[in-house]
Amino acid sequence: MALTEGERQKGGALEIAGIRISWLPELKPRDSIHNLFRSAARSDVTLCVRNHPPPPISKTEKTFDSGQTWALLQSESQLVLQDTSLHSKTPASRFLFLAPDLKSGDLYVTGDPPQDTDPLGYPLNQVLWILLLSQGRGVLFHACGIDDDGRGYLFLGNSGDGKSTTARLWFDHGVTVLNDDRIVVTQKSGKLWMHGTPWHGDFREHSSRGLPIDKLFFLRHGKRNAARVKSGAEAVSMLLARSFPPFWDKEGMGFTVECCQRLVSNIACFELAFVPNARMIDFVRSL
Amino acid sequence: MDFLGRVFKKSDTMVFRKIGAEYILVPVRQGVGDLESIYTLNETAARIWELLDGTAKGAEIRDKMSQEFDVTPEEAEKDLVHHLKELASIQAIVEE
Repeated sequence: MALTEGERQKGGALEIAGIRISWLPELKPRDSIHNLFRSAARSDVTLCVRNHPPPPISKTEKTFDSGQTWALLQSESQLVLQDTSLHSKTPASRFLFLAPDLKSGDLYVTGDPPQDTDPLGYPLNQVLWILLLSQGRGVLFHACGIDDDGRGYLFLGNSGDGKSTTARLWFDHGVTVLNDDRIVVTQKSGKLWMHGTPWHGDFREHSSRGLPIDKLFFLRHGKRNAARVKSGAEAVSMLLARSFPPFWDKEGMGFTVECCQRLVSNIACFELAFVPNARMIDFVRSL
Repeated sequence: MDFLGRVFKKSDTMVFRKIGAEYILVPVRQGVGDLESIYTLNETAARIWELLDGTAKGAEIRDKMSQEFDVTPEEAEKDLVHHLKELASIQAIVEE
């Protein structure tokens, strides 16, 4: 769903995996700052959307460059996230200036509004969630999440491993798909939960629901349905390779590795070779 | 390089975690990461990693490895040099 200019002006909120971000239109001089805080009181992050270029960025230091679609900079005490690589010839059209505690920020937007569910748009929305999750909250995975009548199956895979095919198979059997490409994992009440996101993927019928994870699968196409148990450092390494970690942040990276280890220690993990037909569903349920 | 007479320590830019008898190493980086940037140390390499405390010379680590794994000093030295070279090549260790 794309935001209209009117919706962007009005403000709104987006909540994924229990993290809520609110955005507000640019304050006019007569606006009361108290109203702003009242409307944003329940949010983890409050952003002010400004429809003009950002002020000059001073004393920048590169934190991370994706090489393609985004870069993260440190400018004095603020983090600055922009929607192009530092090496790109295309100028950035969105800049997010974040306060050191990541609880507030200013989003500067130039050009066309992003075709996404929030004014941040891809990839700034996902990078912001990665930043927030890495503060001890959770991890974003390259995965398809399935809610099989309360049993949570997490299918992890890189592009081409069969996540969207898996989502379609289960959906056609009346099962809820949280997302076919991006799933957030958190810990809640001593259990590991997975949560749907509205991001990426070919499959549109995603859900914002969350539920505890029962089984975890590293997907790959095969000539027959077959599962092999994975454990220890090998499984943790496979999880990391299918995660979106904060590579630039030692503490956040340490938390990500710890979270992956917790998953491997608490959830049954399998490498799953599968044939894309309905037999896969019974096979997974039988494990 | 003379690995036995030198002192090495773990790089500050490496995140590591013990999982069973092994270690997972992930470098903190400023550019895009990929699968090759996740390393797993086997039991022998993991013990060497633990002994790299920034004070012990390579020769001292060799002697400990020889005792703990019940192998000759020559065998321990061969393993040690091999693993130190590997760790240095991925910038997981720095000379003190």
